[in-house]
Amino acid sequence: MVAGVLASLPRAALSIVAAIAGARTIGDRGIMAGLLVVALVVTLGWVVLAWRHHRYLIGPDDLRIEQGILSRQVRAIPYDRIHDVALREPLVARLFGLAEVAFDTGTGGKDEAKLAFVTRDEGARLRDTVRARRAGVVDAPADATMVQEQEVARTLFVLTPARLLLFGIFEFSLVVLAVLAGAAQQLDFLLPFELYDWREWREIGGGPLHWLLGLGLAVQVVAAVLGLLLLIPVGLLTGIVRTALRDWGFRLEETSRGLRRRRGLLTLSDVVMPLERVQALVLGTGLLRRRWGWHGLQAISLAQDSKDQSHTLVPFAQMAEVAPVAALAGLPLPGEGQAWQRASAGWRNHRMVLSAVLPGLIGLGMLVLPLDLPAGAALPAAVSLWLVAVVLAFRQYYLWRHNRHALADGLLYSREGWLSPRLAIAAPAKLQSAELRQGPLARLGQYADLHLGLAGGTLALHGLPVEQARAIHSALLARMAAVDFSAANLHAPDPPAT
Amino acid sequence: MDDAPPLADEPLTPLDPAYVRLVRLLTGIALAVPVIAALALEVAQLLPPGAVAVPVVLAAGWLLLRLPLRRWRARGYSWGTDALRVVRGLWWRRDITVPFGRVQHLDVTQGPLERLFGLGTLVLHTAGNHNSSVALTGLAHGQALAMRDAIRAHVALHSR
Repeated sequence: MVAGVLASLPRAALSIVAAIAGARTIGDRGIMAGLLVVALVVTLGWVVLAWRHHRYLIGPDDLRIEQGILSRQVRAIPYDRIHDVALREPLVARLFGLAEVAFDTGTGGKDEAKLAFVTRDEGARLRDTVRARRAGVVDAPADATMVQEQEVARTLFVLTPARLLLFGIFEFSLVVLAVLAGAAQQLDFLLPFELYDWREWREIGGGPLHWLLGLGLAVQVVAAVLGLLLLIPVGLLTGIVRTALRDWGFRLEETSRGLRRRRGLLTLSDVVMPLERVQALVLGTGLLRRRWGWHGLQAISLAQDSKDQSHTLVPFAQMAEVAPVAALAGLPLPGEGQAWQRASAGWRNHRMVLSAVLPGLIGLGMLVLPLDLPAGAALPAAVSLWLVAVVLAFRQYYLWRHNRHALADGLLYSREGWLSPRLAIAAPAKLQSAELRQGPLARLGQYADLHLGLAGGTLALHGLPVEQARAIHSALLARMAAVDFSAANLHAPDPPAT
Repeated sequence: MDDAPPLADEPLTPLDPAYVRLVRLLTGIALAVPVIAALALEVAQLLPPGAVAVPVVLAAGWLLLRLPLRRWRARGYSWGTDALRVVRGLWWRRDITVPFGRVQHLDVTQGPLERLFGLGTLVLHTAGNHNSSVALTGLAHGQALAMRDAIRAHVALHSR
């Protein structure tokens, strides 16, 4: 019990921090200390009470979870509504050998049923029991030690430490500076000097800074550049650390229940995604990593995952490693000889004009309007704004050249993006709705947008020529109507061969 | 399924005529504020007489006459064998099709003004992020209920 309470403490930390922040405005130390003690006691007491009132029962037909101190809530989840059981082990819980059990009921992360902190064995037992009950073994005893079905798991992808390091390097991030700046601003009362007073900074610089200032402009520039260069190791280190924390030991396996993914360094997460829940796949890449052929594969799915993490199937791999996973999900990557189609030229022209019009007009305004600008500044400013306009227009042109789509072999492919393109692969049978949209400009230029309803993500084709848009729209609808997922959209077994 | 003509080619069924009156009432309510403001300015005589009030009142009158009818004509729906198509929008035309098999649940709602004219709104909820709710306004209340029951029956018939 102590372990469970201690593991729940990080969540209660917020109230303790709030108490500290509030208390420090009171001058009298004695009262401050007293308030802090009271706050701690109350929070601890609340956590203990909450833990004691959180119970579960493995019933014959359903799983019951009771929780709540003031407003008690009893939730009964029939076993066939539980798609799977995911185990998460945050760091504190892992130290005590505990795990958090999350029941995936298809609500997509909202209002999920969770049991915070049972022992790891109990978590595994719960998972096996629920699976057994779901499979209809009605007489499965409550301690289902026999349910080790021969789980033949085929490993699809493993992220080795070497590749994790490379991945971390590509995930270069300067977010730590933003965090430090934010913290400095919030906690400025703790710092020994005034954050915003530049004279204080100069004092700190003191001797060396004076010496530097005395040396002349060239040296100052060099010093500034060196300072910026220091940011590079900081960014690399941040990227590597963040990636390691998230994706250490990443392992994707194919099991009889779906795709099982395990990852995490401090927080271990173990999730199974049933294949039929995969609505679409997204193949992404980055500006730099594309040069070396590194891609990432994500699934758009209703399967539950920890709220701030996406359904990443393959985080960092070459195309040849991604292809088998995509094929397994029923959404294979497009082949070499795929016939692609582009958006309409009218759409491209409109976009080019629209993107250039604002900077162009501002530049024109700077020249023409009687503004109070310093002498001789109007022309260079206008010219640079016009250059910006030209660059934006060309960007739209290149986007048009690189965006493409295809409807082939019963799958819809859509590629968007120029420098780091993103390819979406969707099966028409999984689409929820189809919408053709035309604005006034679109009617003028004879093009239309096709927006498709996808559970858990977005998919849209922009600027298609009208006839093509209508043809794809009808083809998609024909395939959607052919497969009826009326009952429990998410439970559907493989659709019948159409 | 079978070789039914694609839904997109079928003619649109127009909305209930009472919808025109509803939109006119809503437009009138929305226009009341600028008209009253213009008249107040007129009474306060801040600007040359008639400079503000006349254009505003004329514009309001034109909108009140033309807008409801145009909107009624721009909207419509098409009831297929296994899908519902909803069309709306004057400037930004949106043509949304939802197969019955994708409907998660259905609502028929009636706002107070809609109740006045005997109209209702049929709302289809899908599982998609985009168009998670598709609303068809301007139906006669009885017809909206009938459509809701028909879709429910279709879903019940085809569910596994």
